Amino acid sequence: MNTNENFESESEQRILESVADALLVLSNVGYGDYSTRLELKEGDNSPLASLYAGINDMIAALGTEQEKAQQYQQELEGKLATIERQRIAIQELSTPIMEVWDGVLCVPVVGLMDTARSSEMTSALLRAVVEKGAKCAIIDITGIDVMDTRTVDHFVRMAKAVRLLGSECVLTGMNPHIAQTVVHMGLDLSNVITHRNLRDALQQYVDMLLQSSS
Amino acid sequence: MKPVVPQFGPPSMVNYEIRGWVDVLAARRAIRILAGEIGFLPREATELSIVASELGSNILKYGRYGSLASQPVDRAGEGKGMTLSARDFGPQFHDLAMALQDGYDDRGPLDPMQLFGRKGIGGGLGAVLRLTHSFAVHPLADGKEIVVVRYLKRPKPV
Repeated sequence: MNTNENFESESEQRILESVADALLVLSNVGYGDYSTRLELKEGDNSPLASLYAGINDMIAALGTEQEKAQQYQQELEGKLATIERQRIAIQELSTPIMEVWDGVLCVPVVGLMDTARSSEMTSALLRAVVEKGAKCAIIDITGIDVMDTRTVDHFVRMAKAVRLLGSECVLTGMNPHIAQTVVHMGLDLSNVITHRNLRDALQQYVDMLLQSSS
Repeated sequence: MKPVVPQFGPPSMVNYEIRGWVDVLAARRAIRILAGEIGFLPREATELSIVASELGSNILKYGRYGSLASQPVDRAGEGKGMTLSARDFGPQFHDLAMALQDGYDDRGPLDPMQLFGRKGIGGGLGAVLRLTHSFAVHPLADGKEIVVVRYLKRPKPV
């Protein structure tokens, strides 16, 4: 009787210890430690051992998932950074102001011309005219199919400001719709030269340069 | 809100969360495509994407964050068209009548020196008015919603 009771209380004791171990390990997992495992004895086939093995497998699976999640997080941050860089690049590229000849700036405008873009372009162009001491600025709007009337007005004012800064201003590539808007609004383009395309504008300017130097 | 972009099949709707400039670029492109599917001419579709761009950039400038949505409409008497709604979670207009004027924003006239700077030209809402057939501002508890409509055929004046 004594030995039986001892045996029972001993197994109870072992079970309680095992449960305590398990709880300790699970609380470690709760704190984010997925490397912790429950100790298993070789050859132990008791139900508790099976439970331990199951818990260890579960912790391993959680660990793998966590690693994957961290990887995804890093990838995502990398991609967001790329998008931000590309956005800035697009903004830079969206108003490329190229010096195509000595003192001759060319601004090929493509894409959507909304009010934000027109004000950005204006400040970039006027700054470039001053910084580069441009004698001629050719603004090519072949790539713009439509502008709001106020934007057209702003455009023409920008061309006049370029003239005030001492540089010729040439508009090329105006399409019939925009031309109609200009006329309809009664805008004065008398000081602004227009050509059908960039090639003609450049040709005329170079001819003028060669003539004046001869 | 998940972005829904119409690609194949009959025209559906567009709905983009606007939290940054990338969202405005994506939304205005989707709106241009939707406009084409509804039957607007390419030039008109570009005008509608200008409207989307103006409303979207206003959300970013003044409305903190919000969304741009668009869907086809078919109203008795007016015919087929498209609505665009710009919802934001920012402050109400102080003076809508003034903000609608070219050269002004909600706070007053824009300094002509700044017109050549980065603050815009005060013409965004003016452009929206000119390029659409109806315009309405709905103040909400946590922001406001601007709803504009453009029909395939300009409605006859009453």
